[in-house]
Amino acid sequence: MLRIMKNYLFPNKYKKAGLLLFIVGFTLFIMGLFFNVDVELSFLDIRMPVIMTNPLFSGRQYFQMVETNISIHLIILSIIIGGLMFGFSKERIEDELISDIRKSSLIWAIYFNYSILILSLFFLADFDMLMMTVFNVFTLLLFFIIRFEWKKHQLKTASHEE
Amino acid sequence: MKNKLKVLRAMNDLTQQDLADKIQVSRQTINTIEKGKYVPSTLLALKMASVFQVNVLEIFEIEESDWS
Repeated sequence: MLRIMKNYLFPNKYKKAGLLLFIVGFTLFIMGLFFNVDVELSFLDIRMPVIMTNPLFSGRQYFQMVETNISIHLIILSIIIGGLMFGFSKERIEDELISDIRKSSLIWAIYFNYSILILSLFFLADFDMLMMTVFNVFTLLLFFIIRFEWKKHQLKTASHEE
Repeated sequence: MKNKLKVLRAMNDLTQQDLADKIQVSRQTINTIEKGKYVPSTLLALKMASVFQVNVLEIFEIEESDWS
């Protein structure tokens, strides 16, 4: 009966691909942001339809075609999809203890992420505050993954057979 | 909650891994249950009872502190 219940997880084989996507995306993101590496590929300059746009010197417009470079879109997509695949693929043996650790790690990550956001609300200003909200696109996933992997590691090292 | 898992395993000549394989969990899960750090679900408890062919109450025993 339990086997047909949805657990919202990907098969185990997605885990490695997820990690790869996540690392590649994250590396490109950091390089572009902090090391002034040009991560925009010119062939990704496209015209695409958007629901809403708010250009600098004119008012908000709806249902427009805009010219944009979608490199950063793809990088963020790769971080999010990769992170979801890595964090939410089944373990080799996905038993109830692992589910338990997974859920508590998720709760912990949500608390931790919002704590960081609240702190930055009061201790960061202007552009840095804006940066923090940008980072928040994937920090929740990142904190969850770190916590989950750490707890699994602890479980492994603490359970040598006596 | 107290448990006699280790004793029952020894009586049936099963390693943690053997038991884990029989009830489709990881060895780590058996280990944490044995140490009393993790309380298994009813389903898992029943599976263990079925492997050892005993009553669930012969494996797990409730303690006074579990009531508080």
